[in-house]
Amino acid sequence: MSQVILEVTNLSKSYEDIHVLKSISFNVEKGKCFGVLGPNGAGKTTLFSIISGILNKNEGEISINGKSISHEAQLKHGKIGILFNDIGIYEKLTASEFLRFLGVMYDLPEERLEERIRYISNILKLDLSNRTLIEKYSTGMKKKIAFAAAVIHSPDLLLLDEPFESVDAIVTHNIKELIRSYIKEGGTILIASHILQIIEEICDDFIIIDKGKVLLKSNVKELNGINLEQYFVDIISHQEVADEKTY
Amino acid sequence: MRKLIEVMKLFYRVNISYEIRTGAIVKLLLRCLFLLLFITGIAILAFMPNISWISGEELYFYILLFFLSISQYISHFVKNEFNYFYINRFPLKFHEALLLRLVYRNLDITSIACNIIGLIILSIKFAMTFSLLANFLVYILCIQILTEILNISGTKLYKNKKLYILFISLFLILIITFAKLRLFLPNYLLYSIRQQSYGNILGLIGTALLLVGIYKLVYTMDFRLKPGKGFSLNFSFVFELLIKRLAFIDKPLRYLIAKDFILMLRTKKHVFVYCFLLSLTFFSNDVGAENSIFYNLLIAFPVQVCINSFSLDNKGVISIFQTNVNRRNVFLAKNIVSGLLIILLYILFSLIFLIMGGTTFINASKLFLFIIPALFFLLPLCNYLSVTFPLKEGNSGGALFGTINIKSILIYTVISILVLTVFTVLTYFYQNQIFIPFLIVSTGLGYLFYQKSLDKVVKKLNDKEKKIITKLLFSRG
Repeated sequence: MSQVILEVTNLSKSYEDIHVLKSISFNVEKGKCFGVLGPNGAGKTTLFSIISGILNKNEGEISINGKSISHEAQLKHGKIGILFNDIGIYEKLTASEFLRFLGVMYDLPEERLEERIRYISNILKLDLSNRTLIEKYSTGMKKKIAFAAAVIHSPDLLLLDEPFESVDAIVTHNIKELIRSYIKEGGTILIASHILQIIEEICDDFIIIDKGKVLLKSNVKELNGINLEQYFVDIISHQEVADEKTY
Repeated sequence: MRKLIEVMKLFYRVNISYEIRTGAIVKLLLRCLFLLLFITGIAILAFMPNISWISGEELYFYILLFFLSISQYISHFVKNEFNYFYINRFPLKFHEALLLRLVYRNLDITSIACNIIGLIILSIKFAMTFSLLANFLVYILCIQILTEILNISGTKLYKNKKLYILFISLFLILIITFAKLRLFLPNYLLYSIRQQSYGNILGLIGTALLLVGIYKLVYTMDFRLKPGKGFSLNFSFVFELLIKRLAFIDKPLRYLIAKDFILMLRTKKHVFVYCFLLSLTFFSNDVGAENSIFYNLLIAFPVQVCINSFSLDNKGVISIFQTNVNRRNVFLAKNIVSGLLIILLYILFSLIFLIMGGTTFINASKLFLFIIPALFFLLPLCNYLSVTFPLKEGNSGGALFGTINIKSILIYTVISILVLTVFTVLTYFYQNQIFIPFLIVSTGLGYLFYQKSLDKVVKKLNDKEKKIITKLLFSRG
């Protein structure tokens, strides 16, 4: 049986009287790519923020490698890498300055850091000799840099929140390539996206969430040729009808 | 014109309704209270009998600087930040955009009231220095107008290279004819030039042009030239190399210092502090300018930089919180950079004053020595504020709305009073032989206070980490 790296149990979060996450549970196995699908406002970013330790949960348990996430040392010792949608970058640094800075903060030895930077920039086709500030780059380039920053310390678990949003086909291809090589090296990925074809292409397991609830847990192989997009739309519409009836 | 008025009305509607929606009436009242407090204070200061150890002109300067600092601080409370990206949505002509930006940015009611009332009181009390005031206003106006022109001409919509070149040429001419002349002329000649009000005003315009021009050039170049095959000057790289050589400093701390230093240099607003300070060189013979600089460094600078220390990191702050870096080092790095910049600026301006004959070496040195204990007391307070009330910055550098808190006002008031007290004590000790012992004792006490406070502020940061991240990353303001 595969080792479970991330275990989320009955996770709930509310902002004042708005329930953003309602008792969410799922497990992510080591070496797999796990997709979190959901329409806008489903609670994906909140879920990722809580798993990454940025936000506090109200209820529930999250454990990584069997240890509770409230034991924050895990986060601080580089077990997790995060790519948020347009956050987490020092835009007034150059890409090279930012990656080197992060490497030192993660305690990477000099040779290892250089090796990582070379490797990642090669796959992502990042020109680090360029002295342009990150703020002057396009959204796609920023995304690439944020991705490089998320994997610079070779984390065990990588959280990717909408990594393919606002990027062109070439950047999408590069990111997919890095995801595949990361998985090949034994890394685990939790990815949120609403680009369903990509999820279908790179993920093993997935959940569909809407309005803070898990509507479905499944495996891409189990789809047996069913179009994921149609499947997703059907489930969400079905839920909306059910909600209306309840209301 | 009709279009312009409509756009202005729209902006005001958006802002006022936003303030009401977010319960800003209380905050507006607080702003008025704050304003009233300072007007009362300033009135008391202005009408009290002259004090023997402080001249009228000096007092005038401190009060004026105080008002400027306060109006800057007040602007942190309101979302009156003009987002010029909005401008691009409307088909405005260049002059319309400029006017709109100028009007919109300078119409904060409390800031205007603060400045006007303060200046009226001061003009009554110190009628002799009225020309000084007029010159100063010319200077401020020049800076504002020119910066806006360059900012708008720099946007995609109004990109006009010719205008840029014209301004840069103008800077160069004015540097040579006014600023440089004034800086290196012998004292007696300088004095005679100063008597001519036209010369004064032209000099001020020249300085304003020079400073804005240098700033824009430097900012456009991002402190470096593009790397080429041959020799290339790379400021960040040079600084990084320099820092890396300091092997006795912990490696993450070195990188934190380097990062903070680069961020600070690349943040637009600091240039205004430098511009303002440099502008004081024009009054150096009339007032205790080195004292004014000291005062401004320790009021305006901490308010802009230290209190808001995480705002420089803004989105990037997540990088620090996700790593295992020692939080103590984070504050230490921020404080080292702020302190170093204050010290470097002081040295720079003292040198200018010395060349101009505005101060003596002994006076400048005495004041320099006083900066260290003052920093030991001020930085912990600023650290505390940056953790307790983190401020988020907008794209254009101003703090966003929603950050006001009565505690923050009180603490800022304490800082201001503390600096005023320090300043008063300093001025008093200038006349005495106990300056050195006083300095040693206060440095020692300051160091102990700083060390103790560092642990406390780290603990507070650990407790409030989630709130700070939420504020900096997710909140609207």
